[in-house]
Amino acid sequence: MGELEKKQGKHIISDETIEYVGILAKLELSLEEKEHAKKDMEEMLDYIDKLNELDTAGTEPMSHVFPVNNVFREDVVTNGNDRENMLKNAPEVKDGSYQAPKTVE
Amino acid sequence: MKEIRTFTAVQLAEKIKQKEISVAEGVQASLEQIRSVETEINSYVTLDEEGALKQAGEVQKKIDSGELTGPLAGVPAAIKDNICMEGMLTTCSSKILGNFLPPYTAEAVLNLKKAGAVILGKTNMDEFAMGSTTETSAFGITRNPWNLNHVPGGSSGGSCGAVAAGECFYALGSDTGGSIRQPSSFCGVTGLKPTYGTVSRYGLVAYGSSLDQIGPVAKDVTDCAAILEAIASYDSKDSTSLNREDTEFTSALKDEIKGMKIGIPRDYLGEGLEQDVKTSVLAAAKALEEKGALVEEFDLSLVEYAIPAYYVIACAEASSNLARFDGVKYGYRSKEFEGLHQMYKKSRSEGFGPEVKRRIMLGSFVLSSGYYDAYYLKALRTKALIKQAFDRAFETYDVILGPAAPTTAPEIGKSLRDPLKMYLGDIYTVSVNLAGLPAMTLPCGLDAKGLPIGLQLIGDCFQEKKILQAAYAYEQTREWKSSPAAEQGIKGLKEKNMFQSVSEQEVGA
Repeated sequence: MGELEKKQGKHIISDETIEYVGILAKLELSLEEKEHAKKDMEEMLDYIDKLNELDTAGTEPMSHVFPVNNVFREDVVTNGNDRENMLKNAPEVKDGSYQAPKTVE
Repeated sequence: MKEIRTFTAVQLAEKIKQKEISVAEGVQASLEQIRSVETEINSYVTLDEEGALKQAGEVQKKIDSGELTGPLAGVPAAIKDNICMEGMLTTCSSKILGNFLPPYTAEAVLNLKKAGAVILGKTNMDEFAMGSTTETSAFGITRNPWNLNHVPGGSSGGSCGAVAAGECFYALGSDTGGSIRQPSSFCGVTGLKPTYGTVSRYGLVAYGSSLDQIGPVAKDVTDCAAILEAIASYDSKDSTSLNREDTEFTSALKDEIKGMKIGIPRDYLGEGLEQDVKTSVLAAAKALEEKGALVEEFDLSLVEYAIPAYYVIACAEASSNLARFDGVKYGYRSKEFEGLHQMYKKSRSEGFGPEVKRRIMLGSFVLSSGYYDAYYLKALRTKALIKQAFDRAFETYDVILGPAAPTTAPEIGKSLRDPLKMYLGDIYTVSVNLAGLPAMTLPCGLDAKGLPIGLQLIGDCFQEKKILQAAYAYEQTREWKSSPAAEQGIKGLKEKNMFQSVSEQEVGA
């Protein structure tokens, strides 16, 4: 995706962009919802642009406040076979597995 | 004797220990109050009356046998509905999890149970903790126990409402950008967000994982310290869990403040702050100064950048975390669809509410290729700068003092129309999550409308004890005030509301 369009310094979210974000977000929006989403996103991005006032060139991005390390343990099963319990919440179950619509013909 | 529901958690546990009150009587006191006010307040999504009475019997036996001796043993509590409990509906106040029965219990709740808690039920919240008013819940709004025309705040509005209304003795909430502190402030109760990593997130439904922390909501500082002491633990099931050895938080409950250095950020007292809130917060600072604390104003800087950075980071993490809701493993699945892809899309679109969709969309956008650097990495760099600003402040000060929110609780129905404006109300809370700091709010007065005002105390990482000590010292200078709902039940609420509408008419005329 290219540069975002702007009009008088304000963000303009195109139909194409909102369509693309809908695909990424796995959301199906009605026409009305799309118009709302465009307006909301334009407003939020205009506001978020405030961050550009800050010079962050020499600053590393900080994802966590404390160093995050992998937590290793011995490869030993401790939680047992919980299949039945886990499947209890599934909308559709077949033969002890989650059932989903066919993905390949 | 005082009404049982008016005791704090630690007071009730002491009465139970002395055999003056039984565990079942404590539970009944909460249940009676729930029956009295819940139709108006709506703090709970799920109430487990039968389970609570059963637990009461079990806990009573353990107390009688001397197995349970802690300061919370036998006390009824409520749990925010984004914290999993085995076999008890955990909905995150969302349609998409409307029928979810977790197969396991969150570590924080297990810790509470070890301390002898009796769990009454699950409390209402903004859907997936996204909101500041509890109005985005799929299961109805919660009303403020001080005035039914106002919101309780959010997202832990159910937990704070339940404590304020006397419908439980304490509750667990979660705080991603102020979700414990802001509703505690609006409901006149005491809430604490611990240092990131202090309480295990195992079993907390993730919103913004790098920011989320579970914490206590209670009537006073002593309760908060005791609850935090019970729930703080190292947990290998949470990769960001910290192994702390300094978790005897109740040791900080000392009425000593001489020489403590307290800084008030000038940036927290500027535009947008309601006069009544400012007056009460500064009066609280004065009270601490009179007890011997060294109080001064300073420039924290970068305050106005915390909200944009927060919303980029929180929404980015939310869009990733909420990808798991796909209609396959648990939760809602659309009834009509063609093929797998449409099943995903329709299940999610029908299952999530507008605010959740808004945040998933923004998060997906800022993480998308082409915008990742400009938005997401920019926000993470800003977060680093905000952390540095706090580091500099804590070189000088033990505790940072300010308001929890710029206003008191808004009226119901006034916030959601303008999301950006609602987000701006998070100005004093979100930076604490970005920097991983501990912070608490406690009541410091009422505004002209009779709504509670919250004082916020922020500490450096691992310095919960300093904020607890400052909070405790301040608490000794004032009397606890309970909400009309807790005080007089439904009658108090109705009278209060009549008073409110009459005075509003007068203003109108």
